[in-house]
Amino acid sequence: MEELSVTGNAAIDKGFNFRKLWQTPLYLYCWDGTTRDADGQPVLVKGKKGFDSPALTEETEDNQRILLNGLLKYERTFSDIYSVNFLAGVERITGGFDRFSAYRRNFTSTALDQMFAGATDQYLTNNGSGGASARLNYFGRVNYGYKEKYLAEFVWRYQGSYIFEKSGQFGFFPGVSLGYVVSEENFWKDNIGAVDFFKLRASWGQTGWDEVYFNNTLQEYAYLTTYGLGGPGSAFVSNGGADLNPALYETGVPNENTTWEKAIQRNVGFDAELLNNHLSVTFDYFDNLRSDILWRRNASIPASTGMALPPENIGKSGNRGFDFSVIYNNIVGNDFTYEVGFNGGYAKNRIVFWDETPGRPEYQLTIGHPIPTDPYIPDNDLYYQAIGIFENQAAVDAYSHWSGARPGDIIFEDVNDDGVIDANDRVRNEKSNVPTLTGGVTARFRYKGFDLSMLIQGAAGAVNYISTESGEIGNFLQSFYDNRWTEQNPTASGPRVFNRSNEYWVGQRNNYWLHKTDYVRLKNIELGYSLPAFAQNWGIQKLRVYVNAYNFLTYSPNYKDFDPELGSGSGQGYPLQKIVNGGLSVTF
Amino acid sequence: MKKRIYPILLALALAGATSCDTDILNQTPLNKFSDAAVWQDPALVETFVNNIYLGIPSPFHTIMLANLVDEAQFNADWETGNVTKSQITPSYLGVFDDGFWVSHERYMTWNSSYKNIRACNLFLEKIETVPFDNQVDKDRLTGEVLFLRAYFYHGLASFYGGVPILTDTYTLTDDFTAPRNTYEEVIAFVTSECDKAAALLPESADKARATKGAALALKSRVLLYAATDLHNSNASWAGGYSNPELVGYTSGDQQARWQAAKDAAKAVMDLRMYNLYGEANPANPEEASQNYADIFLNNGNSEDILLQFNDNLRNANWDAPNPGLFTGPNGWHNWGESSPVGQLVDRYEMSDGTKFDWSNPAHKANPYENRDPRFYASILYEGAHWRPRPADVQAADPIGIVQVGSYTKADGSVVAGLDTRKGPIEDWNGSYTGYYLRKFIDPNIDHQYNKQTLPFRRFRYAEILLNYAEACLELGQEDEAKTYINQIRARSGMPPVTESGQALVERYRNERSVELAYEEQRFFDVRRWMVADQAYQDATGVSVTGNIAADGSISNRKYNVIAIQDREWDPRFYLLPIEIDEMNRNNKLIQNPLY
Repeated sequence: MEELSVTGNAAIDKGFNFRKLWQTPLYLYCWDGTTRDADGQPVLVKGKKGFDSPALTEETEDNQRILLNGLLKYERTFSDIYSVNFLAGVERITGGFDRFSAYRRNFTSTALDQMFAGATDQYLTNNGSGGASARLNYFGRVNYGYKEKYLAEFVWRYQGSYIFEKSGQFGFFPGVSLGYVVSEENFWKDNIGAVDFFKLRASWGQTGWDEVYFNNTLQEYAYLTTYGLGGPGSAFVSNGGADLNPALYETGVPNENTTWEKAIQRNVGFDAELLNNHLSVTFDYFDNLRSDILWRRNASIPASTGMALPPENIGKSGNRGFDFSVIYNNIVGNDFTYEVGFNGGYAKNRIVFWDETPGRPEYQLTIGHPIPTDPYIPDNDLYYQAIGIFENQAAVDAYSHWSGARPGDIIFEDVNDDGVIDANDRVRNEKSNVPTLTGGVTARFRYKGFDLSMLIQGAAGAVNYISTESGEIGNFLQSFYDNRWTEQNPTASGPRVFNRSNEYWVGQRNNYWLHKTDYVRLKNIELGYSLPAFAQNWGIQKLRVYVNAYNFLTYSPNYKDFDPELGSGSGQGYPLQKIVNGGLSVTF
Repeated sequence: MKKRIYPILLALALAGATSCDTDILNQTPLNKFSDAAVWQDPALVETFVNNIYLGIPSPFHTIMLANLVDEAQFNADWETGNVTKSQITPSYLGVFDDGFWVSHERYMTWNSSYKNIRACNLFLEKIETVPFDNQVDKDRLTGEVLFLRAYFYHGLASFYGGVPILTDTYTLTDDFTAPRNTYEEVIAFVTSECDKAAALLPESADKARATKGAALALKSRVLLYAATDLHNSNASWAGGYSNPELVGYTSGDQQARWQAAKDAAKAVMDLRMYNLYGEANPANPEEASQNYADIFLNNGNSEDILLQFNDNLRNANWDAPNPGLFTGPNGWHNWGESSPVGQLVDRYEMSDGTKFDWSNPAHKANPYENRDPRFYASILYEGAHWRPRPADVQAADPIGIVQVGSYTKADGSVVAGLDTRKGPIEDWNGSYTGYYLRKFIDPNIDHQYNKQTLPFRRFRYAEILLNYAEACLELGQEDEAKTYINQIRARSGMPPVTESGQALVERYRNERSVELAYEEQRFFDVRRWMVADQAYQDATGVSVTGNIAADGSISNRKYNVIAIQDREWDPRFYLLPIEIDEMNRNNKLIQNPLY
């Protein structure tokens, strides 16, 4: 039977990691401010910095993953009209790793960076551990097609993971998708000539997820009560400092009912080609729902229980939006071709349910609102509302203010009108650092030997919080300096100069420092010229000279101090660079 | 056809083999111990208790508790300035906040204490079924855990007053709300736990672990705090608070409590296990200073009751305990934090027992001469001889003398001292107060690179004698009190006190603040004596000027008192507020007064 095939696969991934960190002292030359030599030049003194003596850390990891699967396939086309594909399979993935690390310092010399040369003193330490994982999946797919007009597909996965307790190990995740090429219908071909191709698509699918991390730790075995030992530096020292005793801690309260997180993805869309295939349009609308998200009830369980909480399948979130793409291309005469495209998307997510801190005012709630910038610290998106600057002492006295406020400080709004500025006057900001609307324009033009291409890209709907380390420890932004309050300039739009976080309006998050990062950017533009065919007489197959620019123009009206595409609000990241290149490409 | 069978059969066999074995999904962790393994093995049970000791935070942290009272000031602020202006509220906890980016204080308060209490409760639930080879070890570990739980509840009572007394562990499906017990109930619970622990603990054992003496010492401290005015004032300071039983006693006799405190201290003394370290009567002031300094510069001595070590050498975090680096002067490439304020320095008497006074011209001209020997062991001041400077600073100061002033050269130009905020070395790490901490710090280590590992004395015998003396004073037994106060003074070469009445009480309080400086007592002392309104006046420091010669020697020093940090007192700060989110999670809690 040619339609039936059986396949078996075995794959082994083996990984070896080796990391070596060699740290040596460095020397800085400093002037003490007074000592000068005979010629009046400052005398620089060499000082050791960083480490007193070299230190070596070595870490190794040996891991492997073995994948075994078997597939059964059946493909058949009946009378060139119906096609049926059937696939079923089983897959088993097992893995494991071993880790070892060692550390020594007080090397006598930097000549050899090998572990044997380090001191065997009280700083010597080593560590190691291991782990194993296993997953077992049964899956399959059925496809049906009729004359390339009606298309249908059904997939399923029945997945099992070692992470969960026996009764929750397996989850069943099906999916179905349908396609209808309407333009193949006779009524379409006869009546609607302008649209050459039109396909409607819809799909519904469910997937499962088991690898959940909190604080960079994989939440496996949450159904067991386990106890862990801390790494180096967490021993209980006794016997006059001589004995380092292990200290064992309860890793968490168990939750026997952990199981797969589920996600349902639904979408509808269409693809179309019009105007003699010059114009192509695609559009998709999607609505995804995640449920049984593993989340901890830290917000609502009192700290007096002292529990380290396990993940529980309580969370639900949703994300919906659309994206589209429109591309038009054409040829004018013999020499000029062009293609212009426009694409974009909009997506907004929301929390349907999770653990919410009780007693919060309605304007601070997270449920029903977009996912906070950092879901582990949702309070970071609560901001005091900055409504102005206290011009003088009379202004301070006239309005509820933070304890100890002075002229030149930012006025926080008394949102709940209770005469006191406290945590209940913070308002949740719905925007995060993920834009909701993104889009771009691409264009390509060709005229004889010239070619011009460009990409304009933009995003809107995101915000970023600016917090520079200014004062004794760093500089101020020019924009802050220009707008600051002083006694001579009391009507300024910005607050007084501050030192580090020693003002309540620096230490408490407020929306004075919150900026929209909406931007449009000429991401790249390239103009080139290819030499015409006669160059071939010289033995050159192709010669092209070009000039291009990246990030050439940026427009971000609300965010001028840092690069809008860079997340960092402390100014400590390297911004995207504006680059202009010129070049030549020759093919012989 | 036949040849095709074999690969097909192989593939089917492979599929069969992989699909039938679902047992592989039942794995066990390789990097953690199981519940069953731990509670069947006495050795693992002991390691579980070890971890509870680590719940008592080491005071050798960046933000020492001393910064929050009239002992020290934190040069980088980090919101300590807000705390000392009594600006803490249920919504704004500053350094006490559980999520504060760095701190020592959050490990002493609500969330952290209850985590450790849970570990104690878990142990006490499971210990009965653990098979020990001998009962003595089981009793010892049980006694240690009872001590530790009492310690954490004592911490909670000192910061908050009455708190929920929870002795069972919770599971995910329990009702988590619990009301606050009264202050009286908490103190009674703590003292009865101390008694139970003392009965099970050995008298003589490794001082890093709880012993009978430690349990009785804790009882002495707890009863002393409970007998003092703050908790016996019927909450008169609390502005008509409707639940005075949560913050103090509402009935009974304060004198009876002083008697209980006296008896508790006596019980420690009667063990005859401990004595004051060093020569009882040092020959000269230098020896007296060294006596006092040396109490803290060894790994355990006869005065120690409970020692707190830390595994900081192997801890790569920058904020692992490292007192020398954190508090040393910036001219030694250290960070100048938790620097002593003028109020603390001025409390050190003259060596003849008279009070130091800036308005006395002789004192003002040479403020650091002929002072209490403990001053020279605890404080680094202008002109103090510390340790050799780092190699790159040696040229400017070959000997190692602290320079906190600004000095005029022969040509009239002014040069800033090496350890000032205008000096040439890491000026942002200079102290505002003109002083640096010397107590606890090992002079033989270059703290730039190496951490010292000396333990903190969580309980020491000097405190017990002071506790005993205070209780005697409050009971009117002045001679008995003076005997023991003078023992402490004699060890440090100071003449005996001879006052009586309120003057004697003042002398005693001064003695306690000097002897136990930076030992996490003053924060609670100023509150329980209800003198916090004087303690939270603006912090002072000293400003020094002088002349500097070509060879670097400094002369003609002049000293002036300066105000260096605004502080303010609000009576609500006698106790900490319960965080607003915790109040909302547990609706049976009642907030502390005036918040």
